[in-house]
Amino acid sequence: MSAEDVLPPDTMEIEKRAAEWVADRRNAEDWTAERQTELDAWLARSLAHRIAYLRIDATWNRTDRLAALRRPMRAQTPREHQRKLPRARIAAVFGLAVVSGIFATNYMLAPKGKLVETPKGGQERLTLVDGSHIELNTDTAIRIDYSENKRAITLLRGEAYFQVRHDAARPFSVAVTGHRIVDLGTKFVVRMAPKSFQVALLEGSARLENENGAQGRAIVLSPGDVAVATATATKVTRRPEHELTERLAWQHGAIVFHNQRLADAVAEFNRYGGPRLVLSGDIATRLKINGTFRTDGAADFAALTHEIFGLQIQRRDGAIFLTR
Amino acid sequence: MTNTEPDLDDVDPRIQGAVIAAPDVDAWFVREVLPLEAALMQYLQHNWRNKSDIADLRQDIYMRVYESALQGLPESPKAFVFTIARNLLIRRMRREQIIPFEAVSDFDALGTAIETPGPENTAIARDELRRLQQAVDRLPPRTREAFVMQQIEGLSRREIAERMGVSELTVKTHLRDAGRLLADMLYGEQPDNRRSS
Repeated sequence: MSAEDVLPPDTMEIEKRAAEWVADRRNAEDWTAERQTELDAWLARSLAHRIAYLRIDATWNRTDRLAALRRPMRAQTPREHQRKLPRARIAAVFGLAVVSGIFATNYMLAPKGKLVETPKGGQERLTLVDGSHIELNTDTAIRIDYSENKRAITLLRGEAYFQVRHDAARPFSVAVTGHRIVDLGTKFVVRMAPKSFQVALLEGSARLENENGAQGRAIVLSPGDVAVATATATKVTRRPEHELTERLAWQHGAIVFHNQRLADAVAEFNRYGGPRLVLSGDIATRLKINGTFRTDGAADFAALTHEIFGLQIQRRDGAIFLTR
Repeated sequence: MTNTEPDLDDVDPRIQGAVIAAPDVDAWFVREVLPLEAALMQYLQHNWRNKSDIADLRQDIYMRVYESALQGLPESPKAFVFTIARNLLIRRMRREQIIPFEAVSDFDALGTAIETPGPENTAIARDELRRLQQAVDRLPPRTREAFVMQQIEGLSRREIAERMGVSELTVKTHLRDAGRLLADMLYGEQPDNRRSS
């Protein structure tokens, strides 16, 4: 090869540098406006830089879906602005934060009895001043009563994930249909159904009390416990870790099904708005669904039931009807 | 089918002037071009003897694709990418005179034979998740450890460094390598190139 034919030997170097930028940028705690300016300049210097960066960045983005199936964690990019930040920096950073699609809110001084709601298909992540996090799933409402000596949340409808900074002097509790979940240093998710609710405990421990009952009837939940409570009875089962984390796939815009009945899968999609799925006939009972879907993927899901199960799809009045 | 176009455009884009970038071209590139990488790599490996050049060739092709796309996004990304790849290979071969032209003449047969199911086009993500998992499993142990702690457990650099008992600089190196290796596995390899299962 003559000298002029030799490609610049720096392809590898550029790729390494690009991979460093991508990894650094996702490390939100150290990412500053100055670093962003440096990155912009580096990207503008050469198309080779830009392409190498796009490729590695897209790779990390793809692996975000993997994160959705493991245990819950701090938010990942592209929601990096929502990451836990040192308290002193929250105010400064929050002023600049640009979050696409999902809202991040910091309640520096949440007013008493503040109501927070999400619409169908919405999601919201709240950071309380003590560093606790609350994430609201679709169609959810909570009331926050936050004061010097108590942190009392009421779940009015829907589903919410709680990651609590324990403070014995200022207990954190979640009230839900006649029960109260009291944090003993914990991460848990609560989901309401018409006549019951479920609490799944991921880390730490929490006490589930029936507000009408005696203190002695309180149940202490450990990691892996899923309590299903109705007005009259509470049942606790221990579930494997992966199942619990899959319940939280919504935090990353995903739904995971394992041998789910078609009817239940359809109901799950309908929680998130989008075109409503309607089943007709007796097709619901036999078919089982496995897989991971986007929460806004109802139409794709319907198309798959056609391809895989041979169901007929009809779109009418903004809904999708599935029939034999 | 030899290439008769003159080599007037045969200037390495890396030595050209200011970079024009457009967000829609970025998005198009990630959505349409990157998923073709496995097929492109297979094509390059078939047609280029010196394997150590392939990463450079790929990068070169990507730059030409990006630059051309700035003039307007093509209707068929696949034909677009492979035409650019073929033209580039032909020019290189002509110069180096080590591989006969015929080596690339089967492009059309090869190009259409390669199925490229982009992960973004797959509604059901189960295969994609398995693929991601397997790619992570194939990372070198320490690199995987750092990657999992950052990406899956959401730990900070400092926390990762503490847990691994290494410096933050070492963590940074592991994360850098993870991105590069995963890019090669997730974009550069055919999905059915699975080591396990």
